[in-house]
Amino acid sequence: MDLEEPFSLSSLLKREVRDAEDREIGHVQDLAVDMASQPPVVSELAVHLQWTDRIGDLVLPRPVDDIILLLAWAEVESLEPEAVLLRNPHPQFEVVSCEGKTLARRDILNKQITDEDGNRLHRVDDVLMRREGVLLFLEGLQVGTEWLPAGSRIGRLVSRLRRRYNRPGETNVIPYEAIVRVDEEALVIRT
Amino acid sequence: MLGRGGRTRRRPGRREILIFLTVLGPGLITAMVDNDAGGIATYSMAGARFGYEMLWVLAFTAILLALVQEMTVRMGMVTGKGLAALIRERFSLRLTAFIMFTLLVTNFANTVSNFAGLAAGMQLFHVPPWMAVPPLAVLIWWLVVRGSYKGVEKIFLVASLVYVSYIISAFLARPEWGEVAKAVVTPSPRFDTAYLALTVTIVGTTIAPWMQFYQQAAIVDKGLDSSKIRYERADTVVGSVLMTLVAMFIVICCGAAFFNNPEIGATTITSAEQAAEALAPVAGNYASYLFALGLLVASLFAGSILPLSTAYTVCEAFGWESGVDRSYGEAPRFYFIYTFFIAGSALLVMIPGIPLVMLMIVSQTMNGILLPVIMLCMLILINDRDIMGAYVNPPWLNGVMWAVTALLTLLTLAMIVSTFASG
Repeated sequence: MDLEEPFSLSSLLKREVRDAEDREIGHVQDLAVDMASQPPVVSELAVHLQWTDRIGDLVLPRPVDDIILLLAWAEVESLEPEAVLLRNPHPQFEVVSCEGKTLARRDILNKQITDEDGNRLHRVDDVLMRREGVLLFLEGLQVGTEWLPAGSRIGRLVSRLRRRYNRPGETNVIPYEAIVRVDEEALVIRT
Repeated sequence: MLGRGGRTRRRPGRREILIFLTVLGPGLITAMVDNDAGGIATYSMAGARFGYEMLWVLAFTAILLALVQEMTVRMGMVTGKGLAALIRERFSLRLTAFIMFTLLVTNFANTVSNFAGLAAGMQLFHVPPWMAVPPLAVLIWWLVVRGSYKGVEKIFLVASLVYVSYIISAFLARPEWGEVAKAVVTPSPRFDTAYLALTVTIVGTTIAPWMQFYQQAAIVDKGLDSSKIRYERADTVVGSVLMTLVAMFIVICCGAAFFNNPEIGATTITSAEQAAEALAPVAGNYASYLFALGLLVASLFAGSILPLSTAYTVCEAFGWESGVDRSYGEAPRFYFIYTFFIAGSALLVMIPGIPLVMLMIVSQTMNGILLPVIMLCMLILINDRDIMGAYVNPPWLNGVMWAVTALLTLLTLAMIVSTFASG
């Protein structure tokens, strides 16, 4: 994957995460996205750790296996094609609460997309990200895949939205500007 | 009123009975549709070939069915989402696409077999298929497309009463009730190929993947939430018991009529219409006509529910607009799938010499592949506290359900192998 090009969330999920001492400590589980920023920016990295005996400053009575922690994006040193590298050694990470966060995999991927009247349009087949240096931004919502085309109806809608938000190119990605809000039940877009 | 243990045993009040009647529907309809043309043929063969010997298998299958369907009840009522949506959101697009493709193929084959049952049922009343199938297909299509779900549900609930015809047919066949009662409660497993194959087919016919999708979707469609969970559980148990009773009466009828009279040709009964026809000289014309009427209504019932269930499920999985309350312009894919299933099935069964048996084999095989996958997905979903909260499976039920999943996987694998081994 060329990280300078837009890439899909699913290509990043399960990617190895290595700490400052180049130890494999787990894999990418999810990304927290700050939807209030324009464009929405990835603010935290959810890592599925193989084990830990510390969560932030808290030292646990005994190590726990298979735990998912949300790390501040500042902990990310670089995104490599084979792994995500962290700045600090495990387990000295700045850990963030998940409360109120929008997680791209949990809350956006595969989610029902509706218009503002609640009409169902499609599901989110993938989430497209764009990289600028070490920062990641939400590019848009992919509908349809190479092996499962989205269909002409949603295709026409996507084309209209891309023209409206001045995004040239015939792609199957709903631009992030069209997202109104992420509800528990659905992701609402402006049509 | 005090029970034996000195604890108060409360009788259901009028309000509770009313709530139950309001909730009643998804469980009962799902179970009743399960007694479709393919099911009736399987139960007829079981009775004709083994007499009452397989009645215990049905009793056992009823318990399995109730346990599996209870999980869909909980998932639907707690999450307010259909099974397809939960699978899509918890797993991946690829797995969802595989499940939906398999479900489309298997449900289409099942729909075709029900239209074949419809045509055969009408032929028993001396109406040729070309005269019967097109108007009935239009009727089925119109009933669902032009009606509301509530109205359709009421029609289906009333239609369920026609299954009484099998009970009457069984009585007309004059079975030995003492032997029947003994066979229900006495497991009599045999290990010959024919017996095992039919056992597998009974379980596979009774617990079909479409049922989990349909019942959960119907619960969500009805707006039932977890406050009414015990009523919907009761609906499910009532449905499973009634479905099994109907199946048992078909076995009893064919067992009494054919197994005890081998000169009629017990082993030649391979379809429901053959059973209905062969009943006339043994149990009288009334028994034969009632059996045919049951087949006709069962085929009509399943012929409308299966396409509807498939259209809802596929649209939910891919996020397309759906629902009979939507116009064609609003939900084109929903109407396309529904219409294609009905029109395609009606056309196929009118083509002379169409290999329906081959279609059935494909359907059974796909069902066999799909069922373990669905069961695994359901078990993962129902044990996810993020999704189910306090309504996850208790440990004892998990133990039972994992064992059931393993058993169903083995049985369906055996069914696939035996199907292909027998050519």
